Amino acid sequence: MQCGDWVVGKWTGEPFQVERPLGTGANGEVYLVRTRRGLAAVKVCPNASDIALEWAVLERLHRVSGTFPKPMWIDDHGPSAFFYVMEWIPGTPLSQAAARLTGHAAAAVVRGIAEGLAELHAAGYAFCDLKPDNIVIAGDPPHVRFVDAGGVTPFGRSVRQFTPYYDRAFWGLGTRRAEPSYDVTALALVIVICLGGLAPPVSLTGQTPAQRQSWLRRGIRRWPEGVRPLLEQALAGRMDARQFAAAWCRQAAARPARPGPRVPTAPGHPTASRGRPAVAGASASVAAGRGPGAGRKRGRDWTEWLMWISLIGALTSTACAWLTSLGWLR
Amino acid sequence: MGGQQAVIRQLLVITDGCSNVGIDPVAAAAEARRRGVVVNVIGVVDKGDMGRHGREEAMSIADAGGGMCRVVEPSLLSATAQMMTQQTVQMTLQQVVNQELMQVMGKSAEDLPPVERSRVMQVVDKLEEELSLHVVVAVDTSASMKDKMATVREAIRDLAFSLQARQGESRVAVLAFPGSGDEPVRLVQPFSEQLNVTALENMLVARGGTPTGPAIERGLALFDEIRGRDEEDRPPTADDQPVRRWGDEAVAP
Repeated sequence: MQCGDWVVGKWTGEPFQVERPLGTGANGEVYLVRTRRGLAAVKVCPNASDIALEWAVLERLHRVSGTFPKPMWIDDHGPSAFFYVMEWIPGTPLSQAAARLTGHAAAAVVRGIAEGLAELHAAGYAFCDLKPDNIVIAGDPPHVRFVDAGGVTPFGRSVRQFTPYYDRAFWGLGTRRAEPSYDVTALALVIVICLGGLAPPVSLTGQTPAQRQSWLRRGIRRWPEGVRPLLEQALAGRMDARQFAAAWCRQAAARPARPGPRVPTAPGHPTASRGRPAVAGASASVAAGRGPGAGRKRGRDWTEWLMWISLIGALTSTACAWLTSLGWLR
Repeated sequence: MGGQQAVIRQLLVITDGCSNVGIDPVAAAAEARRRGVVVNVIGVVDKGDMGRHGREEAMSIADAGGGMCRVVEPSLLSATAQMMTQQTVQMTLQQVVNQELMQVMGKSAEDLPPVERSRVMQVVDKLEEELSLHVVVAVDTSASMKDKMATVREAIRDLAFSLQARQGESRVAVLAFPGSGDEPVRLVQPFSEQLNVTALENMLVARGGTPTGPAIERGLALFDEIRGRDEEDRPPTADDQPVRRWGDEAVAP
């Protein structure tokens, strides 16, 4: 689909105009479109089955929970473009918002995610592909919404769509079966990796789950001692989403939990201006304000030195050249 | 409908170059397809490239084997292997369902209105989870794979782990080519529901060429063995007929 294209559904005859692409999911693309009922999001996929299944999940979920986008209609366009239209959720994905969250705002986000998961679990489904890109902080007052229902799976089935770093099996922390604990572990991983400002190195893919775990443990040790047992328990999937949210908020109320100095390789890209600033009080200062990481400081100093040295070198050689040409230096 | 006994058979080839020993892998893949086994190919490249020749061969093998082909970096191997396995199961089943729909209603799933289609797909999705799935992973262990072996091992372990979570029966076998010494292909692990981690750890690069064709042939032999064994175990029932038809039709060209 190109920007400005008009698309008329084959079955409903319902038209919409493509405004701009919103992103690429695991199995298709999402566009912002203008419909007769206002702005909406459209997921397009060359595979009829994926669209049909996601649609079925969204329809079932929207009766029990408001966390996922509200489905509007499903249709085809031509022989190989299958799509459904849903509510558009403007906001900032957690992957971009994380660095700006204060301790309290971060706790509110964690509670929002846990509440969303609890509703989903009550309906008998697991999210499975819970990750910072699929968690959107939207609206005013800010609240948590989920996008991309492609991984949502009834309990008891195998997980069909997941992202390695947020998948408990990748870390050797459990099976890849859809159950409540799968999502709780993913939530703990979101906290340790995304809110902790870590970027898992690619080299992890060549390591055994045990070796990967030791990387994760180092990430946990960066959090205050008080919350570490809680994170450990959640990683092991030994509590449900609501229990975890309650315990996390109790900790946050006492002492806003943030990890120690941020490492230089923060995830999420420096926030693009496209997204609206998220969560109240998430002013830029706090997350990074706990002191820039030593690594980053050293890095900056090193390049600064190099700059000065080369500048001085250039000046000296220019001076020498002038002096030589003027005959003052022999 | 005997859905429990229907088996989907897949052969996954993981390689980084061209075959140069034994029979033509494209011919072997075509034979696999004829016998109801889908052949998928993943080319793993590290920074460099497989070369045009390697790429084309990988494509031709997948084409002849009725499967898919992807060329990826080692870090994406695990995700790709799982995505391919899952999509191939889906494809195989959808072909069967479309054939049945055509016979009964004269239209395919795509011709149904989206809401009805959604219902059909949910049934297909459930079957996908419950069917038996047998996968042979054939790994290129020629010298050039040395740096990638750790990632390949983790990817296979991860694939087996995903399959274990299915509701239906899943079995994985692993082959290495070239084998050690004189054998062109070595059986790392016979069909089993649990992956033998020690055997996998011992899958190292070996001296020799890249006998991709013989590896596919050996994979087919493994499927035949397990097929024979299963039929001996199970007394013949009225269900057998449709079941066998399912498996064969599934990938008929």
